[in-house]
Amino acid sequence: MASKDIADIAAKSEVAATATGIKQRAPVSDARAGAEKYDNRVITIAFAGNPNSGKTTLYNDYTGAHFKTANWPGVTYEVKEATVQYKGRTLRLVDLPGAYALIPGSPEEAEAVRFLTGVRSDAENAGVGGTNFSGGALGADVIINVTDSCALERSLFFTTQLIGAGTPVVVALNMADLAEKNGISVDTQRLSRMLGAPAVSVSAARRTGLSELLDTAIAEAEKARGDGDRNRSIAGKNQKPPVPQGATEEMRYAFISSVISACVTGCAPATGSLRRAVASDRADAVLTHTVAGPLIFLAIMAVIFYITFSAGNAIAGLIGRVLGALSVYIGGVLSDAGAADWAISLVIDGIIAGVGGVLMFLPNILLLFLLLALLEDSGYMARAAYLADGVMVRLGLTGKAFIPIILGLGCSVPAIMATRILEGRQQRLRTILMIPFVTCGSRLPVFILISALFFGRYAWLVTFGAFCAGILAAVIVAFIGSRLDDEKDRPGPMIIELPDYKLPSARTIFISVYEKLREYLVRAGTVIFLSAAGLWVFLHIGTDGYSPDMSRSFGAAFCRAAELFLAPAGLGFWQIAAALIAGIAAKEAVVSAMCVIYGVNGLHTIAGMYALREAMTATGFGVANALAFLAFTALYVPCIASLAVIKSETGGWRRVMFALFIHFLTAYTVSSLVYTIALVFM
Amino acid sequence: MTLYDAPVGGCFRVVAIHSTPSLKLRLSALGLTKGAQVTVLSRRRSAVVFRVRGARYAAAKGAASCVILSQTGR
Repeated sequence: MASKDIADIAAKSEVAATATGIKQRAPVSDARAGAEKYDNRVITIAFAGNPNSGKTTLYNDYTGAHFKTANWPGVTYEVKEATVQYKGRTLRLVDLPGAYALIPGSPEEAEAVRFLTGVRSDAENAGVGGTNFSGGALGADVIINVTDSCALERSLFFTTQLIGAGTPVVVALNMADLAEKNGISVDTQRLSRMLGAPAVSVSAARRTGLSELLDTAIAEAEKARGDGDRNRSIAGKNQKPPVPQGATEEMRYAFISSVISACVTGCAPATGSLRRAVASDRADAVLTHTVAGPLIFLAIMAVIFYITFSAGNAIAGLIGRVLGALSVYIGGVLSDAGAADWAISLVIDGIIAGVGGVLMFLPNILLLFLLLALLEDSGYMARAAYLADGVMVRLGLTGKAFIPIILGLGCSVPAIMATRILEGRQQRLRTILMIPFVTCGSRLPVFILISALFFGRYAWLVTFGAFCAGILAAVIVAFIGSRLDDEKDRPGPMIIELPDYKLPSARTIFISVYEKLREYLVRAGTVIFLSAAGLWVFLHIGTDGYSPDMSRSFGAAFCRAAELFLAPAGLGFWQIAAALIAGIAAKEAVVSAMCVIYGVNGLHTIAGMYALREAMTATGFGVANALAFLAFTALYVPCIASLAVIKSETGGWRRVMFALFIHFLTAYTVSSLVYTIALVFM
Repeated sequence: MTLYDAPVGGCFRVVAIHSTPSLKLRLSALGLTKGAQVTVLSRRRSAVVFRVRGARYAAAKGAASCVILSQTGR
């Protein structure tokens, strides 16, 4: 079908959900309250199906939204909705997290099941806060059951549970292009007849069959509504369950086998003779090998790290030069216009130095996000979970918890939210505590800067050390936690789907990197901008009003009070204390604060770097202090955004305070140790 | 023989699942039911990778050792 239609749909759509993944939810206490809100002309269409079957890709196609998709089960961890206009109708499209059956295992599956059935499940109650959908009416007018044409046998299990359960169902046979490539052909009409629900072949990735699918779904919804009854709890007017409601799993699969043998030709899915599946098995023979597997994983991490560090730095110089020129130009314009000294200083030494110091590292961040997105879309993440399971079990977790931890290399916020894929409350809480220890993209600028200033040739080694310290701290904290927790709270054994490997899709990667970069830039323009400007004010206002001498400011006086406390950790400098306080707002702010505090504008030049190092060493800050500073930054308190997500995901301040305490204690202890040891050897 | 100690490359049939009801439900939703054909793809000490009903899964020892298999004639 014409992708123009879809472009039109997308253009007219009002995407209600924000693309950040954190969305405002109108509180609706129960399903009934939502039903009252219900507008008769609006048709609610929910996308339901197995994890990794392409629901979000389809949703993005229809709504023009840019929600993250990737090749591992559980990428979508919350219900999202948008309203679109289509052929004179208003459609409310709802994207649900994936589920294998109407019996949920993890909180994110429970959320999908709750939306579909309106019933709160045990698994959901067992989860932690922040997973309860309250965006609007529960239940849909029609369910688009997204299935994977290449794994139809397994996909149809959920289908047999959905059809005839009350809401009309349209089966979307997704990845039709891949099925065709693999020589699979599905007799859609026969399949529809056997299932008792219409089936449509689509490819969300290639955008084919999209109009037909939507038209069919609308027709089903209107047919059901035509019966004059909007009460969805009364079992299907038009669709009858293909298998009796009380059927055993064996009976369902027996029915599915008969459907497959009647409607699907060209492959033997049970034995996995699909070309892509065979190629994936071959790749797995190496990538998940007992000995080679973990080594390859470490090598992949080292490569990501190396490219981010070295190639990023090469491009960063260019941005630095542009910023340097900008700073000179604006300084000239301001002084020509007769601006006051303090105003020029605020703009140049505060805002441009602060925000520019962060923007300098944009190439590093871009590369990191790009490489992580490639890893996620390749299908490797589930393998990493499999490889890590043995170690994670010793920490009282499962290999699945490794996925959010890897995501934490990019940013802690989405990583903490991704813990919704984990079963069991204790496992979730402990993983949430581990994630902020993992070096995120925002801490990278601090590491790169400090290691470049003080360690020259060994800069990458020191940065790598700080990164490892974070991982080690996370492991130790998790280990201690697992000893303290009750044995019976241990999560059940891990079971995870390993999808076929695929070449990462350009569109998926673009969306993923674009969204992350946008967030980084927005943060540079808001949080970093405000913290740099705020810090400038804090450090330039003293008892005598405005003063260019920062050491006489209120800020310096305040931070000097912290010197004594931070001295054993090698951080007894008011400048460093101020930078660390700024870093609570966002970790990049440590760099921007240092640019403001040490009055360095032009980190991009050798001279600029040299000037910063001179300014630091002049206060007595040496190599041992630099090591302690790196250790402290790697481990100390999560940023404001992370703390907010910890609160919303765990449902209270108690966990936030606990996380703050654990992180600060770890950072203080480790940096004190590092400082003492470094002093002995230097 | 259980799924956990079945040899790599072998093709088997599920005879029974001896586990808690909740784990049994989870396994059956993924296609591990009595009579299902299972191919073991690879293994580590902690977990095993297998294919059932056209999909590939990794299951940790605790889950895999609940699944009782028999040799198929194939």
